[in-house]
Amino acid sequence: MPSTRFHRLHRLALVLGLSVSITTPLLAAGPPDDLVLDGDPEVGRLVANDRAKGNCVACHIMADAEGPGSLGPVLIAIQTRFPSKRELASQIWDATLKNPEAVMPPFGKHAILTQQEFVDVVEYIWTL
Amino acid sequence: MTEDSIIASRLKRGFRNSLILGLLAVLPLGAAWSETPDQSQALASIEAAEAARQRADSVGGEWRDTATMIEQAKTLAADGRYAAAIELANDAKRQGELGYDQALGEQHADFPAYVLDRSR
Amino acid sequence: MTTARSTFMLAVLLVGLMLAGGAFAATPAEEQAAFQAYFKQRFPNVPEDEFKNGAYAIDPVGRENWEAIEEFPPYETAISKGETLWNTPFANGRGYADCFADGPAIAAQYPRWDRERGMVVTLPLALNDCRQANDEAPLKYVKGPIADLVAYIAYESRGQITQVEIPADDPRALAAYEQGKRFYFARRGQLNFSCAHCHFANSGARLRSEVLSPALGHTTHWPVYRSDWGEMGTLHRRFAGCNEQVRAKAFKPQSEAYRNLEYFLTYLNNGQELNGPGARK
Repeated sequence: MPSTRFHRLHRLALVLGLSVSITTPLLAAGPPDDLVLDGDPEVGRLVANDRAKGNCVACHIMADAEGPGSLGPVLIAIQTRFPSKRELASQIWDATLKNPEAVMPPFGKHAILTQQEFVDVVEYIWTL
Repeated sequence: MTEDSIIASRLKRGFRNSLILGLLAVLPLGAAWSETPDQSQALASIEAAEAARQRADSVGGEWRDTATMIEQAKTLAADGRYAAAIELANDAKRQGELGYDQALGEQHADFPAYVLDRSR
Repeated sequence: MTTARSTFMLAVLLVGLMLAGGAFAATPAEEQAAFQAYFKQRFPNVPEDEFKNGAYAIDPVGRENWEAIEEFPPYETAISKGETLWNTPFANGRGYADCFADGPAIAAQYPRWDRERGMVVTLPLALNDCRQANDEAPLKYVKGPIADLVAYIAYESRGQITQVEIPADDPRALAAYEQGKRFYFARRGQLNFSCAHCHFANSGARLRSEVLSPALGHTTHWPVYRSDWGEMGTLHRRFAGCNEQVRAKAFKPQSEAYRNLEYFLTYLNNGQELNGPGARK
């Protein structure tokens, strides 16, 4: 009997372990903890406006950008809307962390931007 | 076959393919032992990227540029630019992994709740 | 061992339920009703028979341009080329009319579930089947002669009503619909968008300067002369273009994935009037 019980527990553990291992990649993390947010806002402005890179203006109204889209919120008074630069970085890294239904592409998680481009964009958006 | 069993068999196939490819990826290491380690590393990175791409494709999750990146990595390697080839191949591999995870996570994609509330 | 196995099965079942969220399963008809009600409530000022005009039903400025374009429709050449193709006999002396007894006004009969073949058959696929049955080489699926033929058929079918059926007595038809549904709502590509992310809650919003069209009305007007293409293209050409825009690898035109997607999306559009071919930006 003990061996059967062991099997039972073993299998249950296996199934639960499996379900955890299946869901774990979905509980993705934000920017790496060791990512230093000290980018160049001027470079970030260029990346943010590049159609093949940030292309922020496709969805957001922001200063100095023409023909903006209207899917996302206006990028203004950012420092009153995010408690820290890291919170902003997390939103740009993978917006679905906060809201699973978020439409915004995960610029960091999916490596749409390189890490350098990413920190530069964060720096620029933080100044808006 | 139900939808789920089709996915399951595709996953199984994807796993088998990537296993085979993974083994194949290691082969050049041995075969190219006499050549410069950089070249063998580049080839191994490219093989690993190709395996990841095929695995993503097996579940319908391949991204647009992954195959192009792998082709570019091959050209770089052929030109002897191994470091650049490895970097590009690694990016392509990451795309394959992300695309695979994405497709798996979206298997049960459904109407948004604001259109159809499934919890009622 | 039996108890161990049943515990195992129970655990599997529990995990399955967790994944499914213990959800209420709607019939396709209920899903269609919820879909149409959503768009009517989202655009209360758009009359039901206007959705077939896509973004031009909701964007007054774009509509003005479009109406000017429609004065001299860019798809007219395609219609006349298509008519010639339809009426030109194959090498064996037979023609399309021998395959399609009700032709050429047959657009509303597609896509349809083919019980014998166990698959969704679209109009372009049926046209190529006809060619191959008569020893003619199949046409390529995204543009050119196939788009011309479908343009002529669409034109002759104007005014017909979308009426896709999912036969209740063939579970494979429902499975095809379900597969199309998952495709539609699955995030894909590096940009991580599903079809719905742009064409449900964000329809009417602007992506740069383009107004995103509502999903209700998406299947009425194919093939389309698209200014962006500078030529005619089929629905599956557009599917592929959308997939690539979100940086996903496109599927092949007339692949099972796209045929099932067309089946799902057209079924949701039941009741919409056909007004193809169309002109779009």
